[in-house]
Order: sequence, then C-alpha cells, then structure tokens
Amino acid sequence: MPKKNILTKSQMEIMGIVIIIILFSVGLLFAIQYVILKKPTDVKKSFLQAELSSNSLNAMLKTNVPECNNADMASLFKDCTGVSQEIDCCIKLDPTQDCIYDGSISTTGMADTCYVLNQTINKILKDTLNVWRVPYIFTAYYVESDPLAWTAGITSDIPCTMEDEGRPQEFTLPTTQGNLRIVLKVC
Amino acid sequence: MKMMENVAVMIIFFMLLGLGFIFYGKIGGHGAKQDIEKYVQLQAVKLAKVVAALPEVRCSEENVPVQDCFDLLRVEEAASKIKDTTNERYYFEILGYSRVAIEEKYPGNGSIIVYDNQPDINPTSDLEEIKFSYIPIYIPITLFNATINQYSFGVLEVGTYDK
Repeated sequence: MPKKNILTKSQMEIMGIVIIIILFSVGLLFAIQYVILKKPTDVKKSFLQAELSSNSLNAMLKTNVPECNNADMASLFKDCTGVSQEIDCCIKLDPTQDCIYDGSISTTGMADTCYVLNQTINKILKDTLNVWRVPYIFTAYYVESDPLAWTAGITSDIPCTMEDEGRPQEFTLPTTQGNLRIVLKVC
Repeated sequence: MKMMENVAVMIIFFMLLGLGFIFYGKIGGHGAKQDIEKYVQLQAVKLAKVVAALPEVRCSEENVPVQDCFDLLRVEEAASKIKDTTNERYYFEILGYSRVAIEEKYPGNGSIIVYDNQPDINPTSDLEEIKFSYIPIYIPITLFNATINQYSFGVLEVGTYDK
C-alpha cells in the first residue's frame, strides 16, 4: 500500500474521533445546563412567601395589645400617626406595678403608641419569621413620603437578597393624615 | 494486527457507552429525587390549605367565615373530638399522616395539638430502615378568644410525615 494512502486513512480516523468527542462534549454540556444547573422549583418557598407576608400583616392588625387597653394594632397605627395620641399605653417596668390609664405624665411606664407598636411588631416578627430563618423587611409610610421613623430597624437578622425577594404584601390603612401603607416584604 | 485494532476500538466504544449510561442514570436519579421532594412539598401545602378551611376550627361572624382566623374554643373542642376513636377514620381520610398544631405567639404563649398521626413503622421490616421525615409549614393566623372577646397572634403548624 502506498505511504500517502496510509496517512490519509489515519487522518480520516483521527477526524472521526474528533467528531465523536465534539458530539459527546456538546451532549454533556446540554445535560449539565438543563438537568444539573436547573434551579428546582421550590413550591413551598413561593407559597410561603405569599402566605407569610399576607397572613402576618392581617393577623397582626387584628391582634389586641394588652399594654394599650386591649386596642387592636390597626387602631394603634391610626393613633400613632394621628396629631394627638388618644390611646394610653403602659409598659410595666416592674411586674408588680399597676398601669393607670389616666394620661398623667407622672405615671411610670407610660409609653406612646408608636413605641409600643415598634416593640410589639418586633416581638411578633422575631418570634415567628426570625425563628424560621425567613428574611423580612417591615415598613410603614404615607404615599410619596419616607418610611416612618419608628419602623426603622424592624428587619430580620438575615439580610434579604435580590434574587430571593418576593412580592411585598401591602396593607392600606386610612388615617387622618392620609392613606398609610403598611408593608411586609418576605424574602 | 487489524483484529487487535478492531477489538481496541470496540472496547473504547463500549467504555464510552457505559460511562454515558452511568452519567445519565445519575442525572435521572437526581431528577426523580427532586420530583419526590416537590410532591412532598405540594402535599404539605395542600394540607395547610385544607386545615385552614376546616369549619370545625374557623372563626365566623354572623355565620360568615373569617379568613385565617381560628376560634380557640372551637379548636379545643375539635382537638378532643378528633382524638375520639369514633372520629379517627373520618379525620384520617382528610388529614392522613400529619400533625396539626396551633400556637399562640402574642400576647400569650401556649399551644394546642389538634391532630397528630404518625405512621407506624413495621418492626418486621429488618432489611431496610424506614425513616419518616416531618416537613412542617408555618402559617401566621389570628386566634379569637370568645370568652374575653380578644384576638391574638398565632401560628398554624401543619406538617406531613413522609417516607
């Protein structure tokens, strides 16, 4: 057999191997891209993001606060944002202390509704979302205004990442100052 | 010489084929595991919805059900009724192997286990160890105490026991 023919045949075989390797690599890449790197659809997470934010807000606004004459939290929001605060709140500094709801300045443990709201919302969210390791951000603001100062810092220990951000649940509460938007973003 | 070359090519071909099968088998297994996890999560979510709509425990105002609100007196009564052996079968058909508990978070603390049915592990099955995983879902709810006419913040814990 002439030498040139042998060389041509071996070159053709090498080309065949190269084609097989290329096809194999392409198949492997497709498999990795579509099967391994595919983000699993987390049904539980999407359900919880929607359910947690809406239910937490709804339940919170209905809850009665014993420190404020058992007023519900929606009333406390209205009172806190009002011109003059009418609901008397008392945080017992000492368990033996009695709360006197007479509005006198000398009464120990008297607190304003905004402070009680901050403490109560913080307590509820820390005992629930924080314990379940769910990141959250709570804010309240009037339309086209900055968030209310007392809501600053009501966030989880775990920060919210952009990719985890769910749709925030918003609750609009009519007050004397305008419509107050209460927002709980669960990530 | 030609024969040896053919044999070598065949060996390499079958090796590549075998590797391919192993690889795709692993990927298939991974996908199946994800599907099972997804199914289990769906079951838990479905159960959470069923429990939230149970008329035995829901609050109502003038016969109109209140969403995501549980009447504490009804919950206590339902818990004792569910534990009754005569109702066991009925609730098993609705809730299956699961656990339903209600916990008050604010202002008070306390919890009521409404339903808890863990599957029995058959002691005769020595060959494979059967383990049941508990996947809970927590849903914030309002708890209504009719005796003092007050609402409190609570959590509904619903979880399924899955193999």
